[in-house]
Amino acid sequence: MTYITHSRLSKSVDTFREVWYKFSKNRLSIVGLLIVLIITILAAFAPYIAPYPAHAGRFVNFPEASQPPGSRHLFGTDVNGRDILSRIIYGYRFSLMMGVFVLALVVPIGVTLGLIAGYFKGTLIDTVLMRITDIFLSIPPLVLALAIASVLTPNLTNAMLAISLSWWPWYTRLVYGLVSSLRNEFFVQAAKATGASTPHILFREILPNCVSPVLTKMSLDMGWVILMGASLSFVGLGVQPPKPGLGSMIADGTQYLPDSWWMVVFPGIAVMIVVLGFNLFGDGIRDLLSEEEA
Amino acid sequence: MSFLVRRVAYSIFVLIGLSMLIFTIVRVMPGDPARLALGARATKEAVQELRDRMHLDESLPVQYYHWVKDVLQGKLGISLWTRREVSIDISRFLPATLELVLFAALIEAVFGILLGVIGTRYRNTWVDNTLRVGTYFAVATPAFVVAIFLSLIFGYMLKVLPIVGRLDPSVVAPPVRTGLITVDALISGNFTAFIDALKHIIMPAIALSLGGMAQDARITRSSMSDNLLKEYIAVERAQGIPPRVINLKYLLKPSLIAPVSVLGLDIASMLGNAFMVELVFGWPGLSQYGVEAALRKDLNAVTGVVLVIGLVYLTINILVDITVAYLDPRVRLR
Repeated sequence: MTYITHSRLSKSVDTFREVWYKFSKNRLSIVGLLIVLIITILAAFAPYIAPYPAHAGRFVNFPEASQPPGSRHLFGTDVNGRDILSRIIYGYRFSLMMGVFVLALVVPIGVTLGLIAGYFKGTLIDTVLMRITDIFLSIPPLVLALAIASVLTPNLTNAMLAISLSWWPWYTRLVYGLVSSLRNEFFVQAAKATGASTPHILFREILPNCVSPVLTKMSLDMGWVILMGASLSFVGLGVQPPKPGLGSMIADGTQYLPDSWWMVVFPGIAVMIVVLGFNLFGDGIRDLLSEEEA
Repeated sequence: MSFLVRRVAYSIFVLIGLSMLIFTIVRVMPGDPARLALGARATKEAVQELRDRMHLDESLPVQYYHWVKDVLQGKLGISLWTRREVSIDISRFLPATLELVLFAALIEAVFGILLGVIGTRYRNTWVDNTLRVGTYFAVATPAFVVAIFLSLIFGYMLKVLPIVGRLDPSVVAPPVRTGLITVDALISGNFTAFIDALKHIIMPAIALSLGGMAQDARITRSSMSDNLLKEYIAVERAQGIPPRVINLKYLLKPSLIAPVSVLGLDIASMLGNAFMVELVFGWPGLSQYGVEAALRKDLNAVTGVVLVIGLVYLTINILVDITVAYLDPRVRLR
């Protein structure tokens, strides 16, 4: 039986060198980290990096419309003559924004509900919260997000809202499982015996012990949220034109297949790379944190 | 058996909850559903009449009561888009989606497990490594991107597979029995139609299954490799049980528990991803209907689609639980 103390988290913050050693043992994790870093830099400094920043918006240049990849336009141009590379770089901006916002909204809500339900296991609170969670999980998240997005005005904010509403239950369920076993540990009983308040026990005693799995899930989820955002944008319920959404760029390009293949192939690869990057990076984080558990 | 009864009862409870959830989402939205249904040019009196018929001036629980009463009689309301009863639309579009998901699940299960077995057989060789890197890419690529890439390569460039629809217009469609064209064609002995339907379904099905297939391969590979090191396998080898029997009965069967559970989750994501894949291939299924309805704010249709997908999803999960119980005797004892 493992004996868990709440100070373990502080102990587990190793020196940077040790952490890097553990993380970099798997070469794929480094690839993931590199992809994530490069895409973050591209997104953050898009106006300085994109060759044609103006092309991310309402820009028309028909003489250069539908050009195949070449020296002037590395990834070619779309039907309005806009540089696809520039639009992909700006598209990453919206994708990352979406991932960060959704997780920032979903994690606190999902984790808090999971903490409460797990701590009051066996009571009415537990039953009500977990049954509601089950109901949200009884339908594919993408379908729920589509349904929610459909009743709202289609734009980036509402797409993020729709994804968030269908995503929190996963964190509730994860934390619920962790808390169900943690609540009987000695340190929780000790805190109770010394008269600590319930919020103190939940957030100061139990929560620090849930950080590793939650962080792991967050780093893996980043890619999935971006993928879902791209899917919503593909059907027209995400980033609205003329803003470049990775999904909507692909959807627009499919009309011009097979001749203008670059309009679809490059944004498609762009989505694949960002999801791949966060997957590999998330795997690395998981290896890192789960090794500390052992 | 009581395990199964409890499972079904709970699914019904969840389905009722889902109906409340989607009802609330649709009714809480800003704007007047009656005005939305009739359009901007409808008269005030007409809108008020529809409001009365939809009980929109009553409280939410009362509205829900009236709505459920209709739903239980199979009346989901009129679709704003097709102007037909939503349940009729759904019964027309659902079989195409079911056929697609069924094929995708079949491809995923067979090839996912097969690739996992191959990975275990040749573990730590170049075969295993190639498969592993391949699975990373396959998992990360959205189904609709795979769909477009497949249709670009095999449809447009090589021209070996059809790009749109379920059946070529020149092929005589088999009489509708199940609604699954491949099955209907086999029943009526119409092999031209069967081959043509297969050609149409192969690309969307692969696009839908690729990500899950990779996951299944990875999980099969890792649980088989773990089980390979178990002592009971060594004991069986020592007892001289033929390797074929060991591999199939004692190694593969227990290693399938994890992939089969994952398959259930994957079918869920397939029902979601089918929305995108059906759009790419012009597949006349429920998802395409759902997306069209979502974009047109056709709320009756959206509600109907969500409920039906919830029902299909819960049913599939029960089937997966039964399969897992067959594979894992420990579950049955509970």
